[in-house]
Amino acid sequence: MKASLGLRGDGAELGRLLGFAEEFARRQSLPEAERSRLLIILEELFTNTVKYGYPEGAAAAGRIEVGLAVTRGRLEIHFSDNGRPFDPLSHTPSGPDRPPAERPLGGLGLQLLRSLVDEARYRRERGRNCLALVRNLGAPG
Amino acid sequence: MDIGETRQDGLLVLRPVGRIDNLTSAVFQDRLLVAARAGAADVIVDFTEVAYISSAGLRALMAASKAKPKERRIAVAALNSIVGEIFAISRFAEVIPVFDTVAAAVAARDEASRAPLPAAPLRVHFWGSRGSLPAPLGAAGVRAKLRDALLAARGHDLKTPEAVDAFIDRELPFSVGGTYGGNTSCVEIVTGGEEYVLCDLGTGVREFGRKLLAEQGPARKHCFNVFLSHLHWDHVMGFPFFAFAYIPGNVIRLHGCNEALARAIRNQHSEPGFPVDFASLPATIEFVELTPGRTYQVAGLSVLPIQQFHTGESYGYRFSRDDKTIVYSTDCEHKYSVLDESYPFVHFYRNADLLIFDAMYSLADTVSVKEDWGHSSNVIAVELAQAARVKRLALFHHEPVLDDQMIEAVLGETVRFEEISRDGHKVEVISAFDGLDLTI
Repeated sequence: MKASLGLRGDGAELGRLLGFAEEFARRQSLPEAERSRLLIILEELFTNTVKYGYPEGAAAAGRIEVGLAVTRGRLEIHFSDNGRPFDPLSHTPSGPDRPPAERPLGGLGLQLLRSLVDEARYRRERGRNCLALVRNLGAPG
Repeated sequence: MDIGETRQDGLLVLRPVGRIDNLTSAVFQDRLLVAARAGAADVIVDFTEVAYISSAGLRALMAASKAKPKERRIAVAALNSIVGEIFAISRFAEVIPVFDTVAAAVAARDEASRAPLPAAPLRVHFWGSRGSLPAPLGAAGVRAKLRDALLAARGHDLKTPEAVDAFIDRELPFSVGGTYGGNTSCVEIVTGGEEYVLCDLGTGVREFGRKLLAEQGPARKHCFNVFLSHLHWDHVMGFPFFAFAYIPGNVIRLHGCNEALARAIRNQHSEPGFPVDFASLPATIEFVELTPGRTYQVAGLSVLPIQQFHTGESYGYRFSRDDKTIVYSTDCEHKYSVLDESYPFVHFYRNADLLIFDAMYSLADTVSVKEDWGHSSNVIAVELAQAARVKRLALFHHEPVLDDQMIEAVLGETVRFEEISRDGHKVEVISAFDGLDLTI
């Protein structure tokens, strides 16, 4: 089963995104913990893109596409946006070796994102950042 | 979001319900910050009813942890597996203690309040390192650094921001990639306790006040213990610009051995030199006259003053806690014939972990034109530090005419001099700069 949703690059759209993902998780009977991880992944991706992906004031005109699918026990997340070229996978958080209290907080969301997925691919394609993420769900649900 | 709340003596338990994400974290953060800033209670966040937390929620916890008074604690309890996983990934357990249950958090708190907290290591933070007069970096100085940096960058692969940072940190000398700063003497001894300890009130104290105010807001009240080496202008001129003097409820204790201490501070803070009269300052300002040679207990430190050689009398301070010792000794023109225990400063500096030393002039200057100007040289600094078996020597009170490259050159020469004159005991020589933070 696949589901997709288009969003504006507006922070207020987060509620709609999470609602969409919850509905997907319900229909796929994802366990509660997997649903929570999915919601965290999507929130971190979305808020990071809206905050940093577009030039000042231009985010609301941004077009973000989210696609979700479960195939053979793998949760696939496709996230694309027409913002500035940015690969969240290669971005190293500032000061990863320092204890969190001394670390600037900017990279925290991306750090969570990277740890919660098992596979990740980034491409820049026709003016869009395209991110394909996979999380192994363990026993097929 | 719905956040339940229960209070019992000195303890506040917050019980948020649902998700702590970008949609709800603002409410969560507001509640936490109100509780943390009030400082009236330790705070436990009970996560029993929390489905998950995203980075937005972690930021709220971090903000509260930074806003709370040092003596207050924040803990979290009863994390579900997802919240536990997020805490593990982000290493947040290093920021905020995690307990299995609220009861366990309460028990740990009661235990901790019976036993005194282990003291944090002593630190020294330099807010101002110049002598005589502030020396701001000008446009020509910035341009020269930029030019040197760009010349040095030729041929390096600097495609990513990370590569640029690494290049600045590893390839550029500090005089190009940084600056020793231009504020006059102000050094903080960070004890980890509730009260603050400062040496001198040069223009660096303005920066100290601004930073503290930005971090903690005007509502928190503090006690500042200041030790003044003497009353020459570069060591007191920052005080009229110290924000906390203008906020009622703060206590500022000015310690010093000069009998003119109160008069000098009051005169500086009055017409016609300054528009706000000292008497109208809302903070409580106390003057504490110390006697050289006597040991005092202040903010958990033993403090011993000594009289130095300087026009109009200056004083050094030896601060000790447990087995750690910091000596602040600026504005002293050392004169000795033999360096042994007969020279009082060998004894006074003995085994110091850090000696902050006025090495304003080169040896050539001190033996000729600037003799009797009341300062010492880098060579004398090394000789004294070696004789007293000092571990680390911080050159301080930089001559305002020296630019960053010259200060760096003096440091290089001093390090070499220490190497060739070493007699078994190594003294680590560094040069103080505005923003330098040392763990003792």
